[in-house]
Amino acid sequence: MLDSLLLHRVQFAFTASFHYLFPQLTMGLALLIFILKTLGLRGHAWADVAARFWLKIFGLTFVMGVVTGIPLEFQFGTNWSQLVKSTGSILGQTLAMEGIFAFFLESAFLYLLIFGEKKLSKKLHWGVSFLLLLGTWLSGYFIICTNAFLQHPVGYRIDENGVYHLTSIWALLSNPWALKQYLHTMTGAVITGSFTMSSIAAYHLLKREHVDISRKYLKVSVIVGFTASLIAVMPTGDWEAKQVLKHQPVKFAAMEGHFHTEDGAGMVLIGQPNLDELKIDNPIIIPNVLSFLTYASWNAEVKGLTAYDRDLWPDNIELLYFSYHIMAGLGTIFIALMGLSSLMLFKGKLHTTRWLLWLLMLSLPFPFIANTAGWFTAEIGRQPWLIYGLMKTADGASRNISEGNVMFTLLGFLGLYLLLSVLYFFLATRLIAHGPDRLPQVDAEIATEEGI
Amino acid sequence: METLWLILLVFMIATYVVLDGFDLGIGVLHLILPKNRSEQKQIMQSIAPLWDGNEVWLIAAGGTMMMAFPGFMSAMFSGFYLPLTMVVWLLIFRAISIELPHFLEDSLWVHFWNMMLFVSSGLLVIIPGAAMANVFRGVPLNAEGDFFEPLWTNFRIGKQTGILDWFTILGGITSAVILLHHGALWLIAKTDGAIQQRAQMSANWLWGGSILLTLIMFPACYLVQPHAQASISDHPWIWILPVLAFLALGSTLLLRRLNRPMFAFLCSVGFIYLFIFGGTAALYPNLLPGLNPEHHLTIYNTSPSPEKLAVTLWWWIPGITLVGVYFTILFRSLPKVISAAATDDH
Repeated sequence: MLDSLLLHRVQFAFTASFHYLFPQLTMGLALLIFILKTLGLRGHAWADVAARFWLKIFGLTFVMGVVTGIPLEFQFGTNWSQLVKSTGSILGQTLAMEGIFAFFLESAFLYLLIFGEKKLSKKLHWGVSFLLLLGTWLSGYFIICTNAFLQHPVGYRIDENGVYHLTSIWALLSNPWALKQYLHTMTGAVITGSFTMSSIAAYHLLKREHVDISRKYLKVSVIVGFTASLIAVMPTGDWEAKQVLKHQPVKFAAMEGHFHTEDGAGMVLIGQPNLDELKIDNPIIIPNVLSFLTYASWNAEVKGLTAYDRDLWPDNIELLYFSYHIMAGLGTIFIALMGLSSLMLFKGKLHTTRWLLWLLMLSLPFPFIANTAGWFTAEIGRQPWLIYGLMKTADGASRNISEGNVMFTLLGFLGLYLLLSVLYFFLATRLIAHGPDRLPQVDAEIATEEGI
Repeated sequence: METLWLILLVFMIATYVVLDGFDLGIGVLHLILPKNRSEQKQIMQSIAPLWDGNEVWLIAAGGTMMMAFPGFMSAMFSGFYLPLTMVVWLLIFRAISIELPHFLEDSLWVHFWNMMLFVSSGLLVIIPGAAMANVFRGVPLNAEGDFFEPLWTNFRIGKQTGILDWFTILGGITSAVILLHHGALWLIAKTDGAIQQRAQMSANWLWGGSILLTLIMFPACYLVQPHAQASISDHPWIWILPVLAFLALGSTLLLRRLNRPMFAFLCSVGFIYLFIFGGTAALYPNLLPGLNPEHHLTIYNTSPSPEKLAVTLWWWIPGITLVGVYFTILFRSLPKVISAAATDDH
């Protein structure tokens, strides 16, 4: 039978994962729109037209991000009231900061960015696009800080009643865990933004619509996408893996599917973890690579899961292992695809290489999957801890709510979010089908730049 | 220090009610006042750029509550589990009902979202009053500071309270009428033509309703909460707040007659602030009274570290000042008056 703790977890995991589909796109697009507005400020009229088109998609996605974000703050109180009771004065700091420093900025300036193009000067409008970028990225930082306290608590003391007190706000905000996780998460968001942009551009090119302008912003998105894909692995992914190894070694071993401590450990590329026999089924393992990647020595000892008390193992090792491998595998594919696209771009053939455009177009969902898998890795891997090493997940949930009530609200969220998905999909495809506006002077400008 | 944070938190909650209050009120009125689509657009344009920023006050107040009084948030949110989750759903519906209609110019689509906006806003204007009435009346807190209430029992106030009883329903109706009046005042200040006239007419009725319900609500509050009676007799100055609130509400009519609609709206803002601060003063130092007075949650037993709250002011005050700057820029960037004719470029 389902217990209410599991329902609390499923509800939070579901609402948080669904929510994060939208901000990863808006945070990535905010950067790309800012780049387009910068090009526009330097006199490229096509970039302003492209920015206007992408702002429409940004606006729709932003609404979805806002409405699915509201429940998360509420759920801290409704579903995790014991966590709030003991650590609210710490977690509340970063959540209140997000509201005050980031959300107000975003909500005030998004309107000016969307409706202010005619009223504001070019420079001011560019400035507003910068403020929006700042707002969305700040918002991400405060959330990562909140999460980082759960992953790697710093700047606190616990009193005799088990209540947590903040001892240093600076330590909370400069948590080394947060800095690395933030860089990795944000490169993930930029990957989503640039893949979405190149996918839509590829779609228009394949359909031979809006060809001139799609070629232009495809170039921007491929360059940004290639850079971000590289950064996601090296250095940010590497930093993130090393800090997991250092502070959460059990998570690390489970992620890698590394059961037994050994010298010169190999890295599991493919295979299914078998928890009964504590081995990987159908494995493809590259020998010694795990030792090298973690300790820069081919024969270093890497501790396996069995080196730790079984109570401390994450409760869903299979899902954790697959989440991590999906994220890492997709990350590798992203580098290959964007690397190839950049090469073709450099040769001036990208917009005519139809098979590559097909690949770019079809790659749209994969960054979303990779980012979700990344969060699954971080969060499932933290189990059984809610605050790593300090508070078990079971001790943070609300105690006074019956299973039926949580089941009711979980079903409610499932239904409501299904409706939101349908609406988003319907409206986004309409915006995409409509495409960027055509402006005669832009066509002329593109023609002159291309020397046609 | 706890008292200061109580004032700051109540200020944020009241600001949320004041700001989202008018756009929620208009969410209801937008289906009643206009006679055609362009008038409806005119109404919606008076709030479309603002609702999101207004709602952020709720989110920021939530964060501030968690930071300053975690014990209060923990008890409140888990105790009011079902109604709060439903509030979240309504907020989601309301937000998409404002934002999605102009993605598609189809009469059925637009009509559907207008209905959704009407229903969700209609329920959401009732909720602040019902919620505050619940907090004011008190809840069955146990020794650990937890409680769980059913949605309703027998609608009476006794040992077995429900979230809905005669007092909280009265609170809900009161807040609905007050916020509709508040919304109508915003429309009078920001629109012209037929819509402004119809808003004037509805404001007359709603003003009468607000006066009447406020007159019933004050003594009801006094009767329901024994702590408030004691607190008011110890500190008679608390009477000033409801009296001033009443004067502020009264003067909205006068200012409308004098053709100063923006001042009338601001008086309504003052009225809501005074109403909420009056209730807070009567409960002080309790945040959430228990039915058993031994289990009251106060500003002292729900806040862990007063010394840290002092440090927090260092970022909080500059932060709120910045917010003030954003809101000034945003409200100033709006046209002074939104005419029906000028609605096409939206």
